[in-house]
Amino acid sequence: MKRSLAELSPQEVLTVAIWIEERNARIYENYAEMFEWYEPDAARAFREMAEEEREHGRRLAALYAGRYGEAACEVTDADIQELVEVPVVEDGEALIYDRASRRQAFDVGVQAERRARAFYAELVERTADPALRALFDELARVESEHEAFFVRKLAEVDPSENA
Amino acid sequence: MRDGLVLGLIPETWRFELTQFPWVRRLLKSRWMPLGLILFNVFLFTVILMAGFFGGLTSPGNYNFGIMIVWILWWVLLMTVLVPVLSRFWCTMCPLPFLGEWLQRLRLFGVRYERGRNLYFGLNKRWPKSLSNMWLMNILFLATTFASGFFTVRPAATFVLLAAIIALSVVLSLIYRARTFCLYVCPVSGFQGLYSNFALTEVRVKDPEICARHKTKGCVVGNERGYGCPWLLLPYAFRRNTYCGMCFECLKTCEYDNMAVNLRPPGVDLLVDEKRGLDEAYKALIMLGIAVVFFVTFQGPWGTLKDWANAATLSGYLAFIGLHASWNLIVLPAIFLLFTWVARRAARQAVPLKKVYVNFSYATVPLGLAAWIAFSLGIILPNGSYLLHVLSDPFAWGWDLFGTAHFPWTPVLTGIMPYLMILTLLVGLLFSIDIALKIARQTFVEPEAAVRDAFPILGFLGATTFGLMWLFVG
Ligand code: SF4
Ligand code: SF4
Repeated sequence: MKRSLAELSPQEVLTVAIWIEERNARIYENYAEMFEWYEPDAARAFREMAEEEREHGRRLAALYAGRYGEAACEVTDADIQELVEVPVVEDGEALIYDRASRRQAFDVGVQAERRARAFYAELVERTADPALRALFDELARVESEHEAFFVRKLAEVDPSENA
Repeated sequence: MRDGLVLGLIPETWRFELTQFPWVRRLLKSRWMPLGLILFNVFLFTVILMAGFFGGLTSPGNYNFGIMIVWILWWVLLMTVLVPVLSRFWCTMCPLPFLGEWLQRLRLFGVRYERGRNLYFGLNKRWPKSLSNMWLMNILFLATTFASGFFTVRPAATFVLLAAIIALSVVLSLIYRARTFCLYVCPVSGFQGLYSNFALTEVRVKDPEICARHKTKGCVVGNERGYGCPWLLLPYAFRRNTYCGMCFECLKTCEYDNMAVNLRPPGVDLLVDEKRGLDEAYKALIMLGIAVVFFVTFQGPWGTLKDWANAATLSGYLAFIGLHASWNLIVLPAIFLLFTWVARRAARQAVPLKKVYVNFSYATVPLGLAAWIAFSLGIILPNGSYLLHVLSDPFAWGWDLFGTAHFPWTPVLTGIMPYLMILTLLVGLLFSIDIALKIARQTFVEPEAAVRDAFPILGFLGATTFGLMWLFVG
């Protein structure tokens, strides 16, 4: 049976968060592959984002190791009800109009991180358990750093590049 | 008519999944589908090309297999059944891009897939961004209709047209990626795409959450079971039928069986408020305009116009082209602009005129489609019986394959034909009004004033309908 994130232990929440970063890195890599054939610039942006997600995952893993050492925890995002921070290219006709661009790619990242931040922030409001609350708070802060990173990348893209 | 309900009756979100039946899903997932249909049509079009070639410039059109099958049977089926009911199902089985796609894949049946992606032969270039829209198809379709007077009387004209399309599709397939020819060049692709937004059938994702979690997205990149969407859609995300060629590759490649073929209420994609563009607006108006020209020229009482279109004299033919082109490219779009300008004034809102123009152009689609269905009735009911003749004697060589070579010309239901045409138009008008009111609510911010805001557009639709009805009865 699937559980809500708010029903997990802090250790499980952290495990899921690490898992999500890894999952997103794979999704970005896959978008990179999808776009490679059509739009190498957008593919490059997705690869950069995949690398960044891996880095996020490493940082969370270090946090986990600091708190729980080697203790294994098997939970993944498939065990939870909510769909957290999934990056989705929603423009189903992007390739037809040749509209896929680095700008669009980074925007996908910004939207995903923004949703994740809002999601964890809402969990802070809803959660009574202090340890879990503190962890959600921390994750919301981490996600907002990620969001800022992607916003910076977006700002670096030449505004004349196709929107 | 309330938002959320088609004609105030059927919920816009209503769907009936045809692929819930295991045999339908099995059929569509088989690599024989659509290959079997395409091979049958390759055979049929080979006969058509031969009939066109041997028929030359002289044999009478109504006794030529190519002319009768393409311009009577195919055209009528396309407009009355295939597009309105089955969306782009013609593209599923179209033999014209067959050679090009075969060359790209170097496989007739299997799938070329290595190291995580499909392999294609050819240069696989990207089509120029400036041409990644419907403009070229608009021009090519209009240009094709300049020769409409020849297609039905000179078999060689049909031969030249089809042979040129096949040759072009092969060349483009070797240079450009996937179905570039179908997406941006094929003259009949644009209107099929736009009118398919009205169709009763769709290919769509079932559960977007499964797609969101799915990392490898075989529907886009392909896998050993099939090719990534040849029409360059992201199958898990697209929301309009316009560019879905119904090739069913995504049903084969989806690892989760998460793609479906659904029945749905008519016209719902016309309400998708994204990706609308001036190229598609022009397509809608050009199609409506050509339907009017064809009625006037080929089914109207003005023989002179028909002579002009048939190029009885060079000056007459040039006059036909001039009038036809300016009516479709300038006059009708300008009239529509006037109506949309009035609508914008009436709404007293700071919405860009271009947005009002483009949005409301989609409301003309049901009426345009109805006009073409009515025109098709005017072709098939009087002339359908010729089909029996050409089936028995396809090359006019005196054969009688099925014993129907001497079947006499037998018009069917021509007495009530004008009324059937009028009824068709009125149904189209009803859907157009429904769409126009909903688009008014999308376009202007005062939803309660939709009737007032859409009033000028309703006027345009009504005037066009009555004009066409006058032509039928007249
Ligand atoms: S392969 Fe299937 S599940 Fe995956 S994204 Fe495509 S449609 Fe969705
Ligand atoms: S979405 Fe693409 S792969 Fe699926 S049926 Fe349509 S054109 Fe074919």
